[in-house]
Amino acid sequence: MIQIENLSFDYGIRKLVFRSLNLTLTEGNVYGLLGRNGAGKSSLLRNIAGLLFPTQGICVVNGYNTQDRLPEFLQDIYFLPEEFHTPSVKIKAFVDIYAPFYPKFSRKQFLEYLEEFQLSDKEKFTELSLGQKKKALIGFALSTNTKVLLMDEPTNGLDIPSKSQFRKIIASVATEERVIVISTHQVRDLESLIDPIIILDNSEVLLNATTEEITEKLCFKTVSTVTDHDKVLYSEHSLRGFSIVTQNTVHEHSKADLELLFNATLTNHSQIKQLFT
Amino acid sequence: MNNTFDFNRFSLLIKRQWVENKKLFLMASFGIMGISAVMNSLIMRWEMGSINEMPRYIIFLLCFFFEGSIFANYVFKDISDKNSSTCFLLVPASHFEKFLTGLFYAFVIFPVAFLTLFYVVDIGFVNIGNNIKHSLKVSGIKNLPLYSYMFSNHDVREELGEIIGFWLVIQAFVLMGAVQFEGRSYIKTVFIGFVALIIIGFLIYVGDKLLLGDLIKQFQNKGYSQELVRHSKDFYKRIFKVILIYILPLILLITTYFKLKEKQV
Repeated sequence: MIQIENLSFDYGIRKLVFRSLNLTLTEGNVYGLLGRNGAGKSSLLRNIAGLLFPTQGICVVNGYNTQDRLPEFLQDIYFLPEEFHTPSVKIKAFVDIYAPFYPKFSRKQFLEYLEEFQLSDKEKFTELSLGQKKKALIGFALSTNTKVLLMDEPTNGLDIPSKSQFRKIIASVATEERVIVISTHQVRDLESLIDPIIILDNSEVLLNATTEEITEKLCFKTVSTVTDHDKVLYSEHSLRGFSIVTQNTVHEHSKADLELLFNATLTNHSQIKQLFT
Repeated sequence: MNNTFDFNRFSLLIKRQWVENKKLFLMASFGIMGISAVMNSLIMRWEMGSINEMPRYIIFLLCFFFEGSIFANYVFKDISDKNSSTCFLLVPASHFEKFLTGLFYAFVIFPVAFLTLFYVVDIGFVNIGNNIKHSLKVSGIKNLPLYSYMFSNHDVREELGEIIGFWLVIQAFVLMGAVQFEGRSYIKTVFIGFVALIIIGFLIYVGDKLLLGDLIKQFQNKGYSQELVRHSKDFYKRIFKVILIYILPLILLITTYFKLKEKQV
């Protein structure tokens, strides 16, 4: 479990990232962390991983203060950053070096992921493309079987087949004991995977809700003309007219469109926040 | 689970450092041997087969300090870049184990490897020189390996403790710089090192001329013997030396550990 209590974080006086943030992330979920550039998605993941320290408040993962970076905490968390480092060794050597640090690492599982991604452990990292390196690291991250898995923009640099393989693999490892947090801009890539959704903006959490809660309170539909402007929280031109987000007052069934939700949340801060608190 | 030190995790970190850098370490070893071979061949008087000890000793010291500092900086190179630093800090091992791994490579592996490689080349050149002497039937003293010279020369032997102490200061300072600075950490450390040297030089001057000078003047005015004044002066200088070459590295290393513990990326 990830507990963030009253967390404030900044990069100096002029760059406040979070102010008194409170968030609880529980096992059995694949959280989608959304926000515009600079909203603090990566900073939040780095605070959770213990790579950045809050200026105020605390971040506790599985009972450990992340700031201490104790080995017992680190062996049950894996963070895959957007930009990563790979040593100039073969994949097999990489696994030989790092796998013993993770008690639940499964070599069998790792080789299966490599096969899925059409990679071989005999290949050298320096000879792989960025996407291939990322796939090897995703395979490693999942094989560590840590309770907490943090991924920053995991689909960036992946080709179309790899994105669907990624979704398939993540769905297969999303167990009841695991918390997975994925930060992304590519909502369309992961729409079917991430649930609940967390939207960050203006140093705070604007929304933290499951897709079920979202569709209970909001309705996503396409209309030919926008009539009731007061009820429309957000609208945009689409091929078939207008895609709109309205308040779901009549218990209408609709499918959550994360891109629309994101835009609606950013344009209607207060209303959305009010709806979900 | 011991969250401070576990020998298994420590040995995994040692292995990790070796596997990721072994090619570079081997290349550096050839570099050390190459540099000392070139230096020795320039010093040797080939026509007589003699090889002077003093220039070899100076080259030995310069290489030991310079190459040692580059190596110490490299040991923590993972921390000077955001991406590799992320990977390094998240390896499930304690800060203390990561710190000890750095110390092990900078203070154990480097001197052992350097001394071995340097002396192998040195002994090789000494033998070549002695063979030339023998073939030319030149009378006189045989060339001695550098270690024999260092341990037989009284002045050099006396200096050895101070040299080791000074080397420890440099290594500890470079390690601290490697943890502190991001990108071009070696150049930044050298720059800060020069600034620190100027400050220390100034403090020595102030301490020697003003404080110690004043104290000695007071002793002399009170009619103490010249012997006592000299002893007092030596005593204060010794204290200063102990602080500079034995206590300072410890302070630097403790600072490095805490910098590592508080490192954020």
